[in-house]
Amino acid sequence: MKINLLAIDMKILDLNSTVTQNKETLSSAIDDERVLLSIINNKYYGMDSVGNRIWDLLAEPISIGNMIASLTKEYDISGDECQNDVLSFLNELYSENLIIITDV
Amino acid sequence: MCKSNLSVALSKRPENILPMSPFKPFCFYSAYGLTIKSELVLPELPLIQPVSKADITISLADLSNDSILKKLQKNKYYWHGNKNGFHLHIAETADFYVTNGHTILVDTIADPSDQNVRAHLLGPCMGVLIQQRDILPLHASCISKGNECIIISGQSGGGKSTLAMALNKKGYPLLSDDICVIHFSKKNQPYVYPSFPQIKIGADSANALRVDTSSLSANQPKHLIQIENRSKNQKHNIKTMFFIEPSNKNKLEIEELQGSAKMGILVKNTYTPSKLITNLGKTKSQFTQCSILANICKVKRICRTESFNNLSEIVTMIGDEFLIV
Repeated sequence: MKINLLAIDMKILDLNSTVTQNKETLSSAIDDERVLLSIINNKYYGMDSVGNRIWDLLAEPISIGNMIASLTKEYDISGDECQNDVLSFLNELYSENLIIITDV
Repeated sequence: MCKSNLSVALSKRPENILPMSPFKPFCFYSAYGLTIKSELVLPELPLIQPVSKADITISLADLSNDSILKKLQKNKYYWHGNKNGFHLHIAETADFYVTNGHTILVDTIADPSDQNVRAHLLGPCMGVLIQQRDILPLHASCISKGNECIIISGQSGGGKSTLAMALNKKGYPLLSDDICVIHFSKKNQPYVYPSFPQIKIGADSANALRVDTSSLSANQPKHLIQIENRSKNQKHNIKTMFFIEPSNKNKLEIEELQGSAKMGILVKNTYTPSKLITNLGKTKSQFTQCSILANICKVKRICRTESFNNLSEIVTMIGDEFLIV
């Protein structure tokens, strides 16, 4: 039973996951970057301008596939590369409890 | 009017004579942009005429029945903070309770005018009280020119006080040495108010700056120096914030910070430890205040050499910052 719970906790995000900002996070834009403070663990996080843009897109629930589609239009990056980078970035945010999964 | 003579007389009284006075002797001071009514004599603070409703009241009290302080004494944890207040226990010196952004109660077995009691009162207790009032206390020195000021922040041993002393000797009035208070207007405009005109400086620095310390006690690791040249203004706009740290390089480095790096260095140099800020329930207001500062202030980092051999170069550079339009 415990092992199952752990497996759910460790769920890795994929293109079909719908995610959004965890509201237990304080956020502030500084210049074109962003600083987050997680109220859960009291840790600060800094994001560069691309991270800042992704955080904006996370304001409302969004599927990761859709997010990658709009980022490849905005930035000069191939679809594959974008998918790799965005998935690993979002998984990092997820493991730090900065975003939550909204699909059931 | 200050009845300080009376109060000193009371605290120095022989054990066998009871004080008889119809009034509690209070002094009135102005510091951190706030008015203070105090039963303790605080000679480092500027005196003012009595006011009917002071922002801060400091009173002597019996805290021996305070359950949290009793626990602190037993467990040797020296502070405890929550949304209601802040308890501080300093063994063989005093117990303090700070609440409501208004009241500090002091229970001391020592002479209430003892320098050690005052250091804890004007340091951690005042830092917490300021935080309770949603004013931001930065661990920083601050000097001014007209109605503008420059903040010099950094960890202990960074060289803040040495720089502030050197700049003060060049003619820049001192606003603060240890706790620099930043008030925010309703439109979120930050202002620095003078703390009090005293600098705490190591003996080496005092010698290097040729500050006369002959009248000061020799057994203290740091000298307390009263500053004559202080600002005539209350509200000061922030021109630039400097963060100074020693490095092991043999060359002075100065860089202007951008983005999240500004926020990081600000948060690291707030006066109250982050765990205590959380306990006091002030995480959000401090985050907002630091973001405002990071967004509107110029922030520069100085990495100085360990020997501080370019002190005069840094002093000139900081002074020139006031000239930049």
